[in-house]
Amino acid sequence: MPILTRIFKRSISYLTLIIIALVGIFPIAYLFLLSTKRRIDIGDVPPSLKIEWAVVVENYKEVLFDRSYISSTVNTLTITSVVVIISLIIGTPAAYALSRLKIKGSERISSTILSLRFMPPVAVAIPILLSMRFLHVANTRIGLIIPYVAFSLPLVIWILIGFFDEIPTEIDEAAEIDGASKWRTLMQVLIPLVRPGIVVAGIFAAIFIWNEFLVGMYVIDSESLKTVPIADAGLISAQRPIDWNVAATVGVVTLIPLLIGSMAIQKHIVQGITAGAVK
Amino acid sequence: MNKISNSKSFLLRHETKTLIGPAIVYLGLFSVFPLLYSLGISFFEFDRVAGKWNFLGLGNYKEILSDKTFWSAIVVTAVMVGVALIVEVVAGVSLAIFFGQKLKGSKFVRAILITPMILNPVVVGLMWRALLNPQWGLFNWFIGLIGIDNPPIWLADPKWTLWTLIFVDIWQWTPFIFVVVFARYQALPTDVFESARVDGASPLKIIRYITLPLVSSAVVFAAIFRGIDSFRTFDLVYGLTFGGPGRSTTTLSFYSFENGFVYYRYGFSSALSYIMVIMATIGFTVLLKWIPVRRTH
Amino acid sequence: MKNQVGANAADSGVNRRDFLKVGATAAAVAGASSVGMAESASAASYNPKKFAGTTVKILLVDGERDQEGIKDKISEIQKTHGIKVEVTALALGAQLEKIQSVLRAPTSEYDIIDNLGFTVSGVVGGGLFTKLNDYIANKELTASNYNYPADFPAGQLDYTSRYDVANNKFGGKDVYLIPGMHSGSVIMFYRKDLLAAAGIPVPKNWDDYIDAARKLNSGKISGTTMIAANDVSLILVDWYARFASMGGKLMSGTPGAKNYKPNLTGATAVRAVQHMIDCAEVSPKGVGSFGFTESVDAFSRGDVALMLCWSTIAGSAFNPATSKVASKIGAVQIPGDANTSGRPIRGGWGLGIPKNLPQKRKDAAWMVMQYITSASFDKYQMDNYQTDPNRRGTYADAALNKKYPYLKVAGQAMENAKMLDVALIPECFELVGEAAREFNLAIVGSQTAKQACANAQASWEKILKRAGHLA
Repeated sequence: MPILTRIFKRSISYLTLIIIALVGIFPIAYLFLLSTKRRIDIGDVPPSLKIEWAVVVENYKEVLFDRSYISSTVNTLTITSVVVIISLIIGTPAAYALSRLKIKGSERISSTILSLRFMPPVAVAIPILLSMRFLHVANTRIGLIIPYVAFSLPLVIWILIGFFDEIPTEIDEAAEIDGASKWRTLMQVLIPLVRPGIVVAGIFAAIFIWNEFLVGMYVIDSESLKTVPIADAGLISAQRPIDWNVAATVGVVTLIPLLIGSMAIQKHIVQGITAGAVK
Repeated sequence: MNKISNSKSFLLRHETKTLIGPAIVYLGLFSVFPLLYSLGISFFEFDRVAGKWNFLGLGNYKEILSDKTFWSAIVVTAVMVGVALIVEVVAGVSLAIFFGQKLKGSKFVRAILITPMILNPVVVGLMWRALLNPQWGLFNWFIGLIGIDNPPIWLADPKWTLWTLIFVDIWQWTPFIFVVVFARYQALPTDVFESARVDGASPLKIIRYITLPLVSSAVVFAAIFRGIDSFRTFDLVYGLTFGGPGRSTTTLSFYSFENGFVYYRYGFSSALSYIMVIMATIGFTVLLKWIPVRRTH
Repeated sequence: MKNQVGANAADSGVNRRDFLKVGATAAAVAGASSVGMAESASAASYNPKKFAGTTVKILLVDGERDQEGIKDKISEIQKTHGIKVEVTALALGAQLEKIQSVLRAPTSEYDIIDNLGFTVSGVVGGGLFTKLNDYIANKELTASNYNYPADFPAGQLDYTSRYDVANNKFGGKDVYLIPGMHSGSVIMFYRKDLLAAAGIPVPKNWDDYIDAARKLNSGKISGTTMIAANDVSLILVDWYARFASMGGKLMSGTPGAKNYKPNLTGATAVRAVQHMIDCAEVSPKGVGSFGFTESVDAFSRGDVALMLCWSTIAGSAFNPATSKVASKIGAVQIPGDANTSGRPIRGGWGLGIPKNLPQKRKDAAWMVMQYITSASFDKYQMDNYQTDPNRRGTYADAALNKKYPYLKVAGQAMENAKMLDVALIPECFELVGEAAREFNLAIVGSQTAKQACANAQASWEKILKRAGHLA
């Protein structure tokens, strides 16, 4: 390809990349900018780029401490991690079985598991609340973990079925010839191969649990146990104007740790995928 | 036969059950029960003053079928889910292919791109309410810069509200499709692409005949998941328009939420949810016949 | 005195001997040397420490700053009463659901519950709260300066305090709730500078209002703003203020007699909607998407000349830290009509003690409830958190009025306010929501005022028939 055409095409690509980057970064930038403003400045359009640090400190102090976002972020992190780990532990063997073992009606079973996800959360929020009360775990972290694992399992199982499907059956057959049980095949041979799938399943499960609020709002009463989405409900009130600047601060506070985390995981995914792609 | 090998062979014979058992049991306990409970209450209604449930038989279902908001919600849902999904898939796949190129800094951009789908729903709702504010919203300021001077009232004009919601949905969930398809794309062996390039195939031909078929299972998977989720969630409707103006953005899921959690008609709301589940199941079964969802060996 | 004690015991389903035993234990704990409840009741001196050593749990709503004053005073209550107070504040939807489950459990988890006015007919009418008359009359349990009922707006007592359970109506002699943690009505805010500059007097009726708004609407200033979004506040704040003040009567008949008929197609209802449509033309562009926040923001930014709003926001509108026009605005009663004075909607909450509690918890709850509805606490909460006061004395307080010049106006509104008729039935959220949808469509231009009213009427009749209030 002639050099000029190549440079031209590269430039278009980079230009597109920049445009995409701008579109992607604008919410973060906007939230950050708003989080540095006082409530009274909200009508300025466009918002001025001058940053008054006293205001920044005040907004962030309110969000992190008065509205306890440090504690709710820790709660959300704990609950999400536990839910993801349990879902992966229960879901990976199930996905393996449904994907690679000859089970009668496995197609039907896996479709039914997926269809559990059809149910609008609205319909199950109250029954879940009632069951958690029945088990005496209402208003506890366990009261959230139990239903959240139930929500995540179908997603985790389906993602992993997809990844297990990609592995050629010869590997199983080889292991079977060597006399390995199915569990050993799974643990020692297959899991290393589906590691990127496990990471992907874990990440998606985390994303959906991280933002769950309907069930959480009803199960949790105590201030100290609130997760981030439940704490967010306090931003909206019927009788007081919404504090846009505080809401923006909440956005930044909840976003930054996730972005840092996701950048860290990106490296992990790439490693995992390239390792697994060696065929 | 001593005890140890007895138990060992028992485990071996029932290995499949131990692999899949925990999941089935867990889901049976904690997923199926709420579903059955809510099916049950769909045949009742809760009298808040007396504090008891009245049996209605099929009363709720009959009322739903004769409720014109229900039928309009079907149309609204179909349009919202359908249009958003198609655009999200096209945009997500295009992004995945675009990022296949080795560009410096693309890792950073990719990490930022997922922001919309990890923001909390309340924050997303408030952020767009601010952006679309008719007086000081940045969105109108921005399009004013490129010459559009009298924009419609995005969140109050009945002609535009549905499209506004679709737009925000696309903004929020295209990254999901992108991430799933891109993960599959990155895992594809490079030799197929190499040989095609060596053979002189044009990039477009490569995309059409090689890339797309290879990532198709990921696309289908992402589309199904996104479709199901957008069918059953109502965050954006709740945060931006509350189903209005009139009923122009009332989706089935929002209508079910409104009846259950704003009007406390739990029975009616459950009946709506069940009709939704039936519709989704029928749709999904039909889909399975047409599109191979899983790649069989 | 003895009869009072007996009546109390019968009411709570505890037999008299048990009641005496509990009274004896409490008295012993409090360090009193008397033996029976009957005897200490006749001692007739207020004893705040009577129930020292107990814990009282309060359930409030979140987002209104109701819990802030109480949280500040927890240690003081510990000192003066010896009672430990725990406050839980939940988002409205979760709070309402919690109240339902708590009131129907064998024993209530909470000792004091704050009830939204719209829910009173359901929970109090359902017989789930303790009657408070005897507590109020009991001089040992109630401070002599408590001043119930005189210190409360009369209309509020017939909304979030007294209820006739037998006949399912508001008012009557039986007291089940004490107004708290906040009340609230609608007042009119205006720009003193703009009206003065144009030589326009403050409008006193609705025709003058729209005239003034039209005259003041020029350039960057909008004549008025409204809550015109598809939101219940459209009805509660803007439409009902007009409708009730124009002399409108929303409902005829009663739910019990199955002839509870809405009157939305009458001339007044249509006139009220039309007035809002006219106001929309001199409101900021996009008013059809204005919720409470957008409307208040527009006014606080200085872009609007007239506004009707909850008196609660007077705190932020008059505060230079949150309002660019803090020093240029005034507040008055909403306009009336030729023969009627302005009648804004009556809003507010009521604190009650659930019935499903052992007697001792009820008694301790009363001590705390009295504290948080007392005159001095009402002033503290208002001064520090600018929530709408519950007591006349707070509204009239000279020192507070100096700091918050709108207080007298808000107090006057509370006297004039009119309860929303349909608060009588549990379907009131649904009715208000449906009406808001139709009127919003009229304001954005999709239908005429007459069509909107006709649609709302049809919708209401359907709901009322389904609920069995209309034959």
